[in-house]
Amino acid sequence: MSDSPQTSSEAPENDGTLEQEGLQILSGLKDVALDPKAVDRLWDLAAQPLVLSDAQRAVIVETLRKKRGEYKAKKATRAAKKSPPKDAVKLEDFGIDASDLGL
Amino acid sequence: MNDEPYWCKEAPNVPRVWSASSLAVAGECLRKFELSYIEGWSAKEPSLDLLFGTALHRCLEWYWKRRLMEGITKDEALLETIAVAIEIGRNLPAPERPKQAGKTLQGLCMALVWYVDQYDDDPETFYRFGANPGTELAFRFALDLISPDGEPYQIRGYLDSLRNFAGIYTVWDYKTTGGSVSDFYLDKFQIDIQNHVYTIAARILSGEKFSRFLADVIGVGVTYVDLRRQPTDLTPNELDEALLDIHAIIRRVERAASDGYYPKNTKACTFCDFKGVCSKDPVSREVFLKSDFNEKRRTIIEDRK
Repeated sequence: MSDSPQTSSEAPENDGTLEQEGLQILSGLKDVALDPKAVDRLWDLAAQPLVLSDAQRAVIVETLRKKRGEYKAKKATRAAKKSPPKDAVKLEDFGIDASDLGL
Repeated sequence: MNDEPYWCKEAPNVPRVWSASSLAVAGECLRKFELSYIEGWSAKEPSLDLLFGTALHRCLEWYWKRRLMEGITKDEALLETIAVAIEIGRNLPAPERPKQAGKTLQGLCMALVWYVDQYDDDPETFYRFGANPGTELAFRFALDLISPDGEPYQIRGYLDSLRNFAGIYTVWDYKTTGGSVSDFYLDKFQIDIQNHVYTIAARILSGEKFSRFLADVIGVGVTYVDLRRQPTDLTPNELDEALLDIHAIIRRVERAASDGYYPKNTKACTFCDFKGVCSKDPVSREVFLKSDFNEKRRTIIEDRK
């Protein structure tokens, strides 16, 4: 009998086929080229009892960071559309003095 | 080994040690306290909301411990924590309601990454006990109120973290919700017994004048994470009043236990899990309880796993 039995909680390493599927993983967390299909496949792998490599987890992080960047940009655009135009109508245009209204 | 009894020996339906949760339930509705604590009914399956919130707590705890205690970089700590998030997150049950749609493995990882990127400056704010950062702190303190066993009642719990935030000693508590965080949602943290209990505990643990409770809210949608923080400032007078409230709640439970009757607070039924039970004829309630809930009355004080 082995002294160090393998427990059921130990997950196998995945075989790194993602790299072969067109996911270009560069060093560090920056500059990761993201193929949407490969990213989907990465999430499929994550849902299985596998241990993802550092590089694969780095891709997950970078994907989520990009998503945040896009969300923030979209939010900023929406907010800019909502803000009043610079040439908003002024009280003076109607011959009203703001001080008469206690403003 | 901790086999410390949960209930008073002389009053078997009165807890000798309380938590912010048990106090909140007893303060909200004595019938709910009877069903959930005294009889021990709880949902058959733990809810996704609870599991997801616990998972995110665990991930943030792991992240901060690695980041603050061992001096590794943010990205290294994050990569490690993503591994933890994947391990926990893949076991989450599927969402059942639209509001839960973001509470998935991807949502867990997204919440973690967006949170640590948004609050990049936070490491500087942690209150430290010597070299150790104040994260995940167990507390227990005695009340100036004697139980039927002749010993002071106690309150125990866990603090997510203690910070010195913008020069104010602050008790930090993560809150998780589904989707956008509304003002209505934030408002409920302004007056909450947990704020007071945790702030009193922080003062006792640290010896410092903690005066702010901050609900650090993480709203998780399918494609976004909404991050908002709600501070509540508490004066010493407010904390003293909270202790009076706590005494009054415990006395009310003692009275109900002695009478053997726990009245309903019908103003608190809207979001109550037991609404469907209390709305039935008293004779048939047990049938509904047995079909929808598990019965397990706690007997000893259990530490967090």
